[in-house]
Amino acid sequence: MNKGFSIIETLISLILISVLSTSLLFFLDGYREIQSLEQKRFQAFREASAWMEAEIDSPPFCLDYAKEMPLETWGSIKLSRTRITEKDPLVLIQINVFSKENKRLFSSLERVVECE
Amino acid sequence: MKNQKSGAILPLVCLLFLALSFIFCALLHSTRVLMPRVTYYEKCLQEQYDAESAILLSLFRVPASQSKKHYPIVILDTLGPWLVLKSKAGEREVKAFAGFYSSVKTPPFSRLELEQAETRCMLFYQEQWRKESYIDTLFGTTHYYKPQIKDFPGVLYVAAGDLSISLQGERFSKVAFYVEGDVLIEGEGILDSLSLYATGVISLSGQIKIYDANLYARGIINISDQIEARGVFFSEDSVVLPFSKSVGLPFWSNSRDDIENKDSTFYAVDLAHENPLRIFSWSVE
Repeated sequence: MNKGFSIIETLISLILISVLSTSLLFFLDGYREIQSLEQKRFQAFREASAWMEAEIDSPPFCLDYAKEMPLETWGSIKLSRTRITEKDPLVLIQINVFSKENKRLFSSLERVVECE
Repeated sequence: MKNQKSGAILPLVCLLFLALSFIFCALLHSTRVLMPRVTYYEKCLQEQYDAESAILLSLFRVPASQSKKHYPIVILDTLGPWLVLKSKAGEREVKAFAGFYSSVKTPPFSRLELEQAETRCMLFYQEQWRKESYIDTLFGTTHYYKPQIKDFPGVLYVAAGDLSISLQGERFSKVAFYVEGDVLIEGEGILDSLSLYATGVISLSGQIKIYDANLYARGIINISDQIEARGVFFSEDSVVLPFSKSVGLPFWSNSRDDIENKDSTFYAVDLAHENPLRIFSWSVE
């Protein structure tokens, strides 16, 4: 009785350990992927904010404009300028960051900027 | 004995299970911490951009109905001759200082208008000086100071006497003097705010940085080449600036050289008339 119980016990233990180890491996892999994705997203966000700062520092033309381009780090951005009113030299700059794989919107920044 | 050995596996497995669960929890927690980092930066930056956008829309008097987004409220104030626009960005406050940007060679205002604006600016500062409560009052002759941060009162009234300050490389947040005589400030140091009223001459020399200067003298104001300053410099006589001197914005003085040698400068809000105001300085606090 005692011997049989110990075999079952050992089997359960082995199954538990293997399940836990496998899930831990899966988890670590997923964690690494998320971390890498976040790192990429952070770099893309920094690049997008640098684009915005450039728009703020050097006033753009007062014309509606839209352009999509790949980022140096990862993914792509869509930059658009929209005139707010006809008489005021102001444009609304919108920068959207999209993921590389499925073009999912990851970050979005917008600011009113003086134009020329 | 054999039975005891085989029965000891279960506690060991339980211990392993517990340890692995702890590792799981720790990893889950660290992932959750990592994920909103970008979202947090994005939120903070967007809040700042919203506040700055609201300020720009307010400066150009664009009605709120023109924009689809709901922007924070903008409060208008004046600081001497300049307009200050303030808005909230979360916990922080975004400030913008605006003035009238113009080419000095073809100014769209007369000398009389400039003098009137100077007078209004002077009245503002005189009011500020009147409100000031002076910590210490000194009488007669010349007073020499080598101020140390720990024992310097910062706000002084000198009745019928001169004041000579020799800075020793320290930084002072606020310095204000009302002097019925001449003032000399020399040495090396940083003054975040300097308010100075003198019935005589004001001389600034040495390696001094002044971030917000409000100076008025009945006599000459002498500024040496190594002084780095921004603010208002008014004299009933004249302000003497070295020819090569470049000053920080905003800077407004009634120095003839300053007006004639610069290509463009910022002028007071009340000179703007129909011309749009421009922002010359942003700050986030």
